[in-house]
Amino acid sequence: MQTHNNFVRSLFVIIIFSIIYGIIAFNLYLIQIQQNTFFKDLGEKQYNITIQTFPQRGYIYDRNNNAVAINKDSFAAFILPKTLTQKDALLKFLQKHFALAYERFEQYNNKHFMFIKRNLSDQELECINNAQLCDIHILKESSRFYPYESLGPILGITDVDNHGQFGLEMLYNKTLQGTATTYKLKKDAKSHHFYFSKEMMQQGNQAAAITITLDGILQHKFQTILQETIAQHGSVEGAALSMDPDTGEIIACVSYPTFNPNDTKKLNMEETKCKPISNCFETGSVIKVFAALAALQEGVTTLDEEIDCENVKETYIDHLRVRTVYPCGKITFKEVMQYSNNIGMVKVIKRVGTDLYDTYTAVGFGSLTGVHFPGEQKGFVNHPKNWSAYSIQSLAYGYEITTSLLQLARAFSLLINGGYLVTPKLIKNNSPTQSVGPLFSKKTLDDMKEMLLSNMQAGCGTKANVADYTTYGKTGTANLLINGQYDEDRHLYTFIGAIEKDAYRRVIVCYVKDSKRATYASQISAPLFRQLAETSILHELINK
Amino acid sequence: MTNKQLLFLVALINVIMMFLLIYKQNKIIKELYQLQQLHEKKNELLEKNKELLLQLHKNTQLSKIEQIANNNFDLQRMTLKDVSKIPIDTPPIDTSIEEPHANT
Repeated sequence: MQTHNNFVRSLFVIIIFSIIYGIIAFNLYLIQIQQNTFFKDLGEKQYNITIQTFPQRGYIYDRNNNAVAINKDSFAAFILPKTLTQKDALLKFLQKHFALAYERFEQYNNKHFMFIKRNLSDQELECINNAQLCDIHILKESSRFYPYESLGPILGITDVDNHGQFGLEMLYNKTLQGTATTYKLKKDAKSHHFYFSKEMMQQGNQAAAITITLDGILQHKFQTILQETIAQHGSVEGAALSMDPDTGEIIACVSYPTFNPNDTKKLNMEETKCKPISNCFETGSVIKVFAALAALQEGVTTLDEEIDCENVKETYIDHLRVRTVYPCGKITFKEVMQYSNNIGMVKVIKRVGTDLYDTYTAVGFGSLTGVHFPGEQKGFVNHPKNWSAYSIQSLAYGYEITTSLLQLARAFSLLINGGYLVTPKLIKNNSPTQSVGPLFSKKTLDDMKEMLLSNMQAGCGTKANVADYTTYGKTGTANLLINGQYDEDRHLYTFIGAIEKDAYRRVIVCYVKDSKRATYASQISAPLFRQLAETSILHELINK
Repeated sequence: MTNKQLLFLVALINVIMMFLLIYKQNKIIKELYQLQQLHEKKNELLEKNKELLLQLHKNTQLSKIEQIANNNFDLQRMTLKDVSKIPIDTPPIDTSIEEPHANT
């Protein structure tokens, strides 16, 4: 009996333990085999994390390898609305110092994350640090700093996410930004920093730097001179550009009014425009250079041909009124340019006819230059099929045609470089200079140079002469179009010119809009050209 | 060698191998940790470098330098007229060759 009881007890214990071990074995089967994938993934999530590292945005350098766009840290303040510990104190603080964030707070009450403000100023950051609220966290973000403020319209700016907004920052955004590299790290469940292994999952592209053709220091000097000229004459707007006529490299490109790319809290979009490239205007008498080019190339006149300018300020040619500033009698065509006589010019250009349009378009007016700058305007040249009776004379002295400073510089370059129309460049790279030509005969170009030289010696351009340097140039004083009518008291003063000595050549073009009192380009833009040219010489040749 | 001794030897070798493996893993983790510390230090220095570069560029902005030059040192902008050419007379090159003295 006892033996039987012992047997039953033993059997009972065996059965109980078998059941327990069976359950354990079954659980093990479930965990290790049936739900293997689930627990493996759960474990991997605890131990493996994926991170992305973004490259620092590439720098931008000028032609002398000075950094003109660099990276800096900016700070953003954020809160986690669902985990606030001092809500009342926080709201009071936001109401006092960050009113916009306070207004938005209601919408974000149930969200995990809310920015208070991004791109904090030094004062705002100090204010937050002094408040010592543990609910406000600071995040470091990347942004840009521009050491040369005058380059703002060319370089553009980046937004709060460090993406280019306009200018070269936008055009080369992908190159400057690069792409993220993804890594897989193996960590233990508790450690935050330490990892056991690091595996690259996806290689990103490194951010690349770009080098521009502009000279940052010369750009600043040009800006200062332009602003002084504008202040002196009470003008409203101005721009200037310097270009290498052989390579097409743009050395300086300034605008006024302009903006500070390091302070973009209040941005006036008009001030962000790169005026030498984006603004087109009726040029006035500077266009006579290219009208004369057409006349000489077509062989309808010569430098020494006597033209009867009738010694009057106003006359009628084919029943259409033509006016000029300085009355002249019978003078040579060279002198017609010297004195910028409209009557003489119209008489000659009428012989050119519709070929004038071909010359204007051949030198690049009315089309994009190929500089590929965002916002570039191509201007306008009135097509012969739309010509009225006035058109030929308007086109002869700079109306019914709009051009940008860059187009003028490019067209003037071909007079200096042997007749080649070069493509302007803003980025310095090893690609060869793109040009078309020679577009005009050597005789025509030599005659043009002679004409432009005489203009500097005895004509309207005498105040633009640069001592010891061969200077070519032409002034232009165009009436401004105000409310659909030309205002004879308000003008745009332009100068296009070039300096040359030995191997050094520069084409410099500039304009100033309006002045306190009506005057001529010989009093405003010609001296401006001289100052810019002398500054270029000092900076590029002497102060090197 | 008896079976017991052989077994003991095998067990001993296994224990030594285990210790060596643990030691190796330990060393790797230690070096990895130091590497990561150095990476963090490098990143800190890069950040510091970036900050200093920014300070340098801020302090050497042309507008600031011009202000200091004008206000503190009363310097004026140079013009081309201020540059004067000074001709340098280069002495003629001496092309005469000295005859070596003959040994007597």
